[in-house]
Amino acid sequence: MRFGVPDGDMPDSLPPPGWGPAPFDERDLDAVLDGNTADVTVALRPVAEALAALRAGPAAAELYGEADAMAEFRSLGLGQAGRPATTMPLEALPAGAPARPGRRPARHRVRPARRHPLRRAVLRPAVLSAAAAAAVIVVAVLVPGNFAGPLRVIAHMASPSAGASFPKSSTGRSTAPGVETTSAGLETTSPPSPAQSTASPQSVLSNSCRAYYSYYQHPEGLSSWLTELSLWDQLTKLVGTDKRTKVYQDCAPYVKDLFPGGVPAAAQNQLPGRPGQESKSNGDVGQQSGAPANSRNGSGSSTVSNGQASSGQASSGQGDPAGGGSNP
Amino acid sequence: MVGEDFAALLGAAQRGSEQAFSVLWRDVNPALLRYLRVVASEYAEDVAAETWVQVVRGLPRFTGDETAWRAWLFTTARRRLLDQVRLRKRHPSEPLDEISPMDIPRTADAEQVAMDNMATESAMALLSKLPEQQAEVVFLRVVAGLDTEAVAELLGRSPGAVRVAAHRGLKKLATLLSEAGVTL
Repeated sequence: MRFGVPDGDMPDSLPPPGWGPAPFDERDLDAVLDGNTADVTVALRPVAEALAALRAGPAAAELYGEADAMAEFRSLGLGQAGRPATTMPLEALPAGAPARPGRRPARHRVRPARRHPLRRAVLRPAVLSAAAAAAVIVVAVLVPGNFAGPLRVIAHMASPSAGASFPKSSTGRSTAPGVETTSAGLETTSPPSPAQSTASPQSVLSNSCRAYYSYYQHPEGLSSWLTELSLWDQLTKLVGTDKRTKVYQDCAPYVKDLFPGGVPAAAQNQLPGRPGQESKSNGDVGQQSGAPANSRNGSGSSTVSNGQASSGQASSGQGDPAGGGSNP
Repeated sequence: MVGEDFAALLGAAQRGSEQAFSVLWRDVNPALLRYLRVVASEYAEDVAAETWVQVVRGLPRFTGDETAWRAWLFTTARRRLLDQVRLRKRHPSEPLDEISPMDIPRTADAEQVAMDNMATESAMALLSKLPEQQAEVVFLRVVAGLDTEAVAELLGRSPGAVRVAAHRGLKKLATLLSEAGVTL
């Protein structure tokens, strides 16, 4: 009995609680912190289990913020790797950085000076004037060769009726009633031109006559017809009159071999280009030969040789329009 | 912990891979939330969101291994937490009406989820009974997976002080568990 307690109730052979070595040391604690729970002491096993529960997998509530984080990830320009690019990413260069090789530095565009309206207004008429002058020159070169003929054709076509109404002399004077006319100058021959004076007048006349009357042997197209008109003009100048009978009389010696079967009437009285059209006059070669032209057919064809085309009016202001249309 | 694939995941995330970023986020965010709930439960969600915003902004410039990644993330979270605590002290706010438990949305397996998370929630509740510094050190060592040196740098203490705090915390935790009658 000791301190009022029997010896069998509290034997002193057992150590008091808390005595003896500690149940774990610092190495065991470090092992638990590092997650090594294999050799952990029994005293630390509840602690190790609690720490393992802290390392457990995520709960659903712990993953709710992923959408917000992903939105921030995308808003900062990231998160576009798996998507098709809508814009081309450009490299951001700091200010003053040298340009990348292979690219020209940017330049300011220089706008062309706007042309003043007044200057344009001045230049436009000048350009138009120059173009018009060039066109006139071209026409002046081309018209005498190509278009003089047709104009004369028109004059010749109008001449028979006009000549029937208002016989004109070679000088252009009208023979309309009330107008005194004279035929003194009808037989005159115009002086030879300087070009003709250089060659023999007979040879020139012969060539012109043969060239002109050969048309009646071989009537051709329009181009030949125009040529004949030119020859006719030349011939009238050589003969000095535009009367066809007179012209033929002068050309007869040179063209008789062209018509061995007889000279057609058209060759004497008809206009070139209108073969087949009979003249109002009676064109007998034998009768016309050597006869005055105006005495035979009583009509003088108005030609363009004097620059006037008869159209029923008296030329040079000498004719009387009111009295036209009747043959005296 | 991601492990050996961390470098590849980080590089992919820095190049803009959403999948890689999602893996990193899912790996760290649960531990981050548990840490914040233990340290400052009322700011945990907001601080976690602000932490990820700053982490995403600095992600293209981050270099380091997984330990450095976690240390950077938890350091950012701790700084955001301190900012939040200072802000709440300067601008105190009244909480809104408490939501009735009957109004909390329930899922079909809410009970099972609760049973699964019971151990974690119980452990977090037990750890919350530790002194703040000891609990923080234990969480950073256990949940964040940081070593003593990283935790020391994060908390601005010496490694020896961190080690002592961790050991004291574990001993306290063992005592609490013994007092609670948890035996194995």
